[in-house]
Amino acid sequence: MTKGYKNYLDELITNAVQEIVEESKQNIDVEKCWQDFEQRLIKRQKGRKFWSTIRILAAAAVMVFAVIAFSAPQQVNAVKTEVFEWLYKSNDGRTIISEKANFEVKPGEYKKLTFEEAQAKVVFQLKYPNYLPEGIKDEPTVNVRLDLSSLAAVTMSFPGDNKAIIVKQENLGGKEERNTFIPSNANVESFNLSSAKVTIIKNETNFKATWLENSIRYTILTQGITNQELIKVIKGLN
Amino acid sequence: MLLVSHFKILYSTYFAKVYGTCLAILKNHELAEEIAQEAFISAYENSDTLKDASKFGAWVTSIATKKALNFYKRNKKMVPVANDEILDFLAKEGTVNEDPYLIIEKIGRSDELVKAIKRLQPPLNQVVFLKYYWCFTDKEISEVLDLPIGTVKSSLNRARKILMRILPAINKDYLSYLIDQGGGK
Repeated sequence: MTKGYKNYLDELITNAVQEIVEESKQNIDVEKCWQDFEQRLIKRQKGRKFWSTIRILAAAAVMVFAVIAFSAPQQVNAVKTEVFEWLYKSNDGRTIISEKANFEVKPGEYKKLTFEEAQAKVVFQLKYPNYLPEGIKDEPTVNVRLDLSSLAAVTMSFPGDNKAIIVKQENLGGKEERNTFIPSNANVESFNLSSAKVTIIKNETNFKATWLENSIRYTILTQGITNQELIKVIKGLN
Repeated sequence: MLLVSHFKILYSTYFAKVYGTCLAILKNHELAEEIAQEAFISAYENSDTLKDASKFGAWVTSIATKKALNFYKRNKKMVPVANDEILDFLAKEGTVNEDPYLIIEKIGRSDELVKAIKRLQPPLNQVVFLKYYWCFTDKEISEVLDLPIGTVKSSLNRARKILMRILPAINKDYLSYLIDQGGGK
């Protein structure tokens, strides 16, 4: 290829590429593209802020978890649930908290647990009696019965000399229908506890109090304590 | 980072040109616009790394070209036309019986060369646009496209040869003679 020809060809190519670019300009509206550009920038900046916040929160959560894990390793020996929670933005810019919980349930009977161990096995908040009548020892035997669907029954037995209190707490799933047959030698009375109606069935020496609160059924069985003491136990349960 | 209002001036000046380059490489309006936008966003976010503002056009083009090249590598099937097919295509539209001088005049303004350049594939079309539109040196093209300088030179030569053959009816010696005599332009 001679130099002159090469130069001429280069010139032709230069003209052609300029023509191509000029021609392509008709396809776009630069002002519209700029608006799109600005929106993308804003979105990115928001996204960056959002993710930096998430990173800070995640780091804080890891630190808190590490502190808890190292400072009190003896308190929890079972992981009740694994809860995953995260924040994100929807397409229309709303913040969404998404939560996914995997309940780890190993069905069976667990006996002679501490209150904390029992609490670690169930998905609802256990209550503990703040008041115990004289003669009842504050050394309960705690048993837990778990089934596959996260339903649990926790029984706390407080012993005493010729006296006893059993507190049973169970969460309910689905529909529950039950008939309670009242023995002929028993009396029934009831009173209101906050929004719950407590039913007490009693004979000479035993009481059975039962009520439903926030889908948790509470049952207290007593031996050798008075009606007033039972009511104080019920009211002191939290 | 630059103020958005200042960046708008650069955007208005160069966006269409960068888009045109991307379109020539990718041959798809939406993709070209997307790649050009992404290139300008990268440019905006990294504007403090640009030392010479007069080189903004070349700089943003190099970003866009890299992005287009990456996209092209990932989606090679999107441009099915082989470079050699250009010749077949254009040979059918050859101008065999016309006067060579008229052909030169005609070709200078005809669609044939434009069509041929549009049908080039990467890396030839990238090299051609960086060389002839953005006036990059071979070394700069080599850096932008991450190709050895020898490959850049050979790609340019190959592109020239393909485009040169668009003049099938021209006796190159005669044409050269005309050009050397100043008849070309």
